Amino acid sequence: MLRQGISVTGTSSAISREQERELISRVRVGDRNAYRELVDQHGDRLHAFIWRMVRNHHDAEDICQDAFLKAFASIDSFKSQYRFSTWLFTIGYRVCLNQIRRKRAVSTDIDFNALPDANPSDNAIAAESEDAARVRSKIWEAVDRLTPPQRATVLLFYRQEFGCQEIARILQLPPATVKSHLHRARDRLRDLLDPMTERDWTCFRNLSERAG
Amino acid sequence: MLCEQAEQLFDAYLDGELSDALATELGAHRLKCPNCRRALALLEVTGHIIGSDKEPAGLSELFSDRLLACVDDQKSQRTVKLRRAMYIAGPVAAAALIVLAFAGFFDGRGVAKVAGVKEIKTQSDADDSLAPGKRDAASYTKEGADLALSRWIEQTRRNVDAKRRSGETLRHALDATLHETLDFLEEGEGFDAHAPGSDLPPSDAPAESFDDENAPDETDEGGDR
Ligand SMILES: [Zn+2]
Repeated sequence: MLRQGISVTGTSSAISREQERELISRVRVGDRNAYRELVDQHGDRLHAFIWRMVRNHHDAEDICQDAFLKAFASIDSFKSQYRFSTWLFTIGYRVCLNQIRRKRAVSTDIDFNALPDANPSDNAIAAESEDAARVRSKIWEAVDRLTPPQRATVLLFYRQEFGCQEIARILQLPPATVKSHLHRARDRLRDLLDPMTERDWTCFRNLSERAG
Repeated sequence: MLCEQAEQLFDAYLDGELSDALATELGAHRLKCPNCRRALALLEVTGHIIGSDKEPAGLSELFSDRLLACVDDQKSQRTVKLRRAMYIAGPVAAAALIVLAFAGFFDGRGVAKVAGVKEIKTQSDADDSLAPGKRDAASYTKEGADLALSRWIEQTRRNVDAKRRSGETLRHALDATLHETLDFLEEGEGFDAHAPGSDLPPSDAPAESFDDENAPDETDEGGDR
């Protein structure tokens, strides 16, 4: 109902488990085409998640590459009863966290005021009304203020449409903790977005109606 | 229904896990309570936008080409590193095995697992590019090799122990350790938290709690939405 199932999330479900298993066994014997197929299937989706986590295109692509390389290098230890995407996202999330920690060690805080300008999606939605764009950017700004595990949970849940069990596996946390991250993230988003102006709110309601 | 009670249902409602009866009650409250109406609308729209907003930018076109080039690169590096390590580790793999054997790491099925190590040893014996005359003596000091080896044995013991507890085969444990040793030799660093592979997730369910409270067919959970 609330995850309206809008598929922004790539094509990973386009292949069956059977096909995925076959693909993995080809990767295991070093079949280059199989590597490429896996990258084609999961690359954009993983990149979208990572980009939303680190908000830096250059870093996101590096992390994405790193995640794939690690996945390929340890493909022998992949257990085929799990989805490859879950496993890949687990690795991607770990690499993200390392990157975020490293960055934090360099600069103590992120300048959130600078984020909307650094957001390429501003260009993409320029055609939309200014108000709607402002609301969207407020929402993403609020998402950026969540802690990394909260942000990851929200993105995986709403954007990547993983279930709580899968998110738990990706974040390597018990499912109950994932639920509580989701709950706290919502509380925090409410706090951050509540002081919207009346004008924002009108626009918000319009978006809400369009959202169904 | 009071606001306080309504708020407690928000998560279940937003996750689509609320029973019909409670959903109806919450719906009724929502109609007459502007605060809860506003709060829920805010959460709904936020979720919708997070879920459906356009992606910023995809991967660059050359991403997979670059990635595959790295894969090739890694493979060839690995071969070189493996050979170098065999020069050092090969003769002592047997010694390490004995250490492990005496430490009681092998059970009844140990023979099959030991095959993994035998392979390593055989490779190094057969690799005549590593014959003494061809070795680049300047590349390794004896101390460095000794240090690497003692670390390898020590790390192997720890790895094998940890991995056996998590149900990994000895072969995998030794592979992982060997790669760490290779990186150690390559970079001249010790085994640290940043060793490649150390930040890899375990390939099976990571925490015990996962196994305990899971639905029978957990692997399909959420997979087909
Ligand atoms: Zn209320």
